Amino acid sequence: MIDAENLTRKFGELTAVDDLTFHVEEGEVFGFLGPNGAGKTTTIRMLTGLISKTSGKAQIGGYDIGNSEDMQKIRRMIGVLPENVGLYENLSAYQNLDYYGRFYKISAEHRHERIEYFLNLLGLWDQRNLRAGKFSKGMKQKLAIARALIHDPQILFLDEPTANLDPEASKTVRDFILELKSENRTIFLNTHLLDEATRICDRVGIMKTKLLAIDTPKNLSKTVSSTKTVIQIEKINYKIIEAVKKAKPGKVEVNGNKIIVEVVDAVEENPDILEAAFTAGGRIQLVTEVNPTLEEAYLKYVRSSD
Amino acid sequence: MDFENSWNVVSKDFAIFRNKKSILYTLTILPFAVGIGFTVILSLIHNASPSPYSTYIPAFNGFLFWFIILAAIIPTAVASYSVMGEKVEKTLEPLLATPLSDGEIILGKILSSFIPCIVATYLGAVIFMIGIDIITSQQLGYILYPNWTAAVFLLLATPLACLFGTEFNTLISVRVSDVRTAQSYGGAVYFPLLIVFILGEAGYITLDIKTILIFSVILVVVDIIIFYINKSLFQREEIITRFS
Repeated sequence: MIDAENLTRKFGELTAVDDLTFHVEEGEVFGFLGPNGAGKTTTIRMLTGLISKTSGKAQIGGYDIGNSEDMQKIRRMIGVLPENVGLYENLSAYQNLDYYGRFYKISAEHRHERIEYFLNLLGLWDQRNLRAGKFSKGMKQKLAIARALIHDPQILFLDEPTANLDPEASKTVRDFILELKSENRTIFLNTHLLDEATRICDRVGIMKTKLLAIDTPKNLSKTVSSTKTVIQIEKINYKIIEAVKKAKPGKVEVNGNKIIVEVVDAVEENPDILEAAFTAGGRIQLVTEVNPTLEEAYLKYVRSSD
Repeated sequence: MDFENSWNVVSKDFAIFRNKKSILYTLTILPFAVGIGFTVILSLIHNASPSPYSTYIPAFNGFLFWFIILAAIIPTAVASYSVMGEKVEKTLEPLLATPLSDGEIILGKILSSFIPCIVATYLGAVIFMIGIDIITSQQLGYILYPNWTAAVFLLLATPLACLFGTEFNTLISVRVSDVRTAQSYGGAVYFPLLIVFILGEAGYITLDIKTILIFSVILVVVDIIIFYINKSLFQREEIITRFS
């Protein structure tokens, strides 16, 4: 659905996006992760035809982003939520959506239906006649998402959709994105919230001007560390540690009264580890599993690029 | 170019203008003040040195020319807001992501300023003409306005001057980054028209139908040139990278 090949953008001497190559499948939620200034917004702007590319190729739904005729077709296929929501603050929520709906030649009746549907879905119908300038940040963000969807696009580009939102508003937006995913829409998401990416993205790309890694959040996490079993023991001693090391040769660490053991298959390996600790006299208080996080992978890739 | 898209931009701008007091005041107070003001000035001059109104008729053309100037000045407030408002509220990025073409945006922006400005100017001119008719008709023995001179001034040169003001201010607004700067530069539209007026008052030219027809032809050419300059200078990419 979205294809980029050696996509590059330079602003004078500065290379904002360098040689990006990736593919996003239809119905996939693809997250772009990276620090501020990594080139995420520039990438979205290139893919949505808002700015030109310096070199490389990119296609949206089979249409070339460098071709002006194709660009008109692409603009009808995509919905864009920019970093700055850009609502008309002197117009009501309803007027904001109606204005954009007209550009896609949606009939007045259908426009009204869609506006009513989205404003109800996002809990804004009762405020439909209120000026957008009076809305909270979360309400504005939701209204801007509704605007991006007013013409029923198959592909959505969302630039930091939950940035600056409170936890409740963030959750509403995240749930809404998941609902859009269930409708088989392709979603290209820029974010620097790793937890958000882990929860909603099928695959993520980590970028810092260049694309550093691309895979599912789970696979990326595994590239930096493995699952760990943490055993909390009432009174830890050398005998217990040695018993655990014997049961599970490999990486065993001790931190206070906790023994941390790296495992490949926790279900298979944990019984032997726990039995060894118990037999050596250890009174086990707590057993927890610690999975590698996307954050570790992200930091590894971003730091290694410095 | 799809005119419906441009008209959609116009309708949205009108809805915003209705909520912007500064624009509403500019569109109503200035034409009213000029329309009533000129009538009062004429009345005061006549009271100070009474002479037949027929001797004032050539001077009335000078007053009519001020409506041409007015039509070019009012867009300084309206057109600058029309484009700058989009920049300030950062609404251009989502707008440029729609299938709207550059020409449709420019045409929409020009019309959304031109229409209210020309209507406001005509309102002032109508007030002026009614006022003059009330004051002079009894003495003249006939109703002076409307007449052909007023028709050429108001129906030909005034809309062209209004278009000039609108296009010029749109051009400035696309290039600068705040409303005040746009209005400061945009005010320059006043000078070429003022020079024509001064030349008329100084007796170098006569502000009659013939002069206004020539002046109108020049304005047509200038308006066409500025439209294309506007279109070529409307660089999506620069607007996005500089103002979003």
